[in-house]
Amino acid sequence: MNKNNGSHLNEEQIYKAIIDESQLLPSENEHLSDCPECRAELESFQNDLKLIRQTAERFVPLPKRRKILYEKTGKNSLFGWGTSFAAAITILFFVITMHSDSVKNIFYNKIERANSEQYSEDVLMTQVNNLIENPLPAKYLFISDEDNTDYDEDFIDFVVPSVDDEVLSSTEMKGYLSC
Amino acid sequence: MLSEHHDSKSPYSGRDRKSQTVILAEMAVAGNLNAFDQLVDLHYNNIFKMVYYRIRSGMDAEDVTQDIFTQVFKNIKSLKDFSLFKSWLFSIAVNRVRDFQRKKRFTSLFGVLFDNNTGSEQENEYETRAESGPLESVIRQNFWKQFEAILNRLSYLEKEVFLLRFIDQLGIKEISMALKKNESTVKTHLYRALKKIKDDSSVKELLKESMP
Repeated sequence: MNKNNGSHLNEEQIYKAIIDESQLLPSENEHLSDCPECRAELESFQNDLKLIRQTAERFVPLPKRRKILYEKTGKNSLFGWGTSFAAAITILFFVITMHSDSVKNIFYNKIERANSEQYSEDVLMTQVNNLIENPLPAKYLFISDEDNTDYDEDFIDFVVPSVDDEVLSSTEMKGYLSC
Repeated sequence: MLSEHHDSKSPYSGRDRKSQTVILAEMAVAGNLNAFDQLVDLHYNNIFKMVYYRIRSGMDAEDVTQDIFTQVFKNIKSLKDFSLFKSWLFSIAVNRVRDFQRKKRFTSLFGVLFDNNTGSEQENEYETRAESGPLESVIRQNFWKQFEAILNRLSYLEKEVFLLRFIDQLGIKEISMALKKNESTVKTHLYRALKKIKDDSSVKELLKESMP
């Protein structure tokens, strides 16, 4: 119980005194009140604890807001939860149904089919138009010289004049007759 | 209003506050919202500080404090003896803080998924609000760092009883009720906590560095 040849309170008794003085025996309490050394030790530790508390308190920021949301709780809270739950279920239902294949088919099939038909029709018409302009595939255009279409019509007429049916028939007739 | 912002300045301390609490709690249970407001005013700062000592974040402490008083409002009718209001309030606070710390530990496992920069910037802005200058800010940050280090050497229960007894200034009986432990268990843990703190050389250092 004692330190220094049994004259003072030991560490355990000092702690007991700090926690709850009523834990000390009457003799220990008496010693504490009479002994300045033990009292100083007790007060020193108590003072350290007090300083820790005061410093901690000094460094706590002041709270900025103080609004208790009791208006949103109480009786209305059940309704609030119910409404939120119903809303969540509805949203979940929509999300699930919008992502399911059957719903997707219902909403998107007609549009997709129409778009697909339109596209294949356009491709076909492009091919037809190309064939009307030039029935030969592109790789044969060089051989046939069909890709060089910007020649001068007058020049060709000059080199190879066109033959009228009437002129030909009269010439043929004369020749035939002369023969 | 029975508002009090600092214990030292409050005209309502000790027994007065207890009797005021009992009266206001009775009125609040009878449906008087103004009385509940006053009850909150009476205890808000103490609870805010209690939360802050444990989580050391102003914004989080405000949220948790809000949550605590919301719980008080919801459950005050279940309290039979209004003289036990303070112990009951602290038991809610202890549980809420523990829930918050668990949640925080859990979310910190997935910390990579969250962007913490914005939060810390807001926190810094919050913390510097009441400070006088950068030196004070450094001292404050250093204090909380060392304070946390000292408390981390204690077990959960040792830490809790130490904070409740010497920082929040609750009596042994109040701590016993708040933690739902018997008084001798509380005293045993307090004894162990004090022994560890007395043996810790960093406590003196902490006090020396934090003195104005």
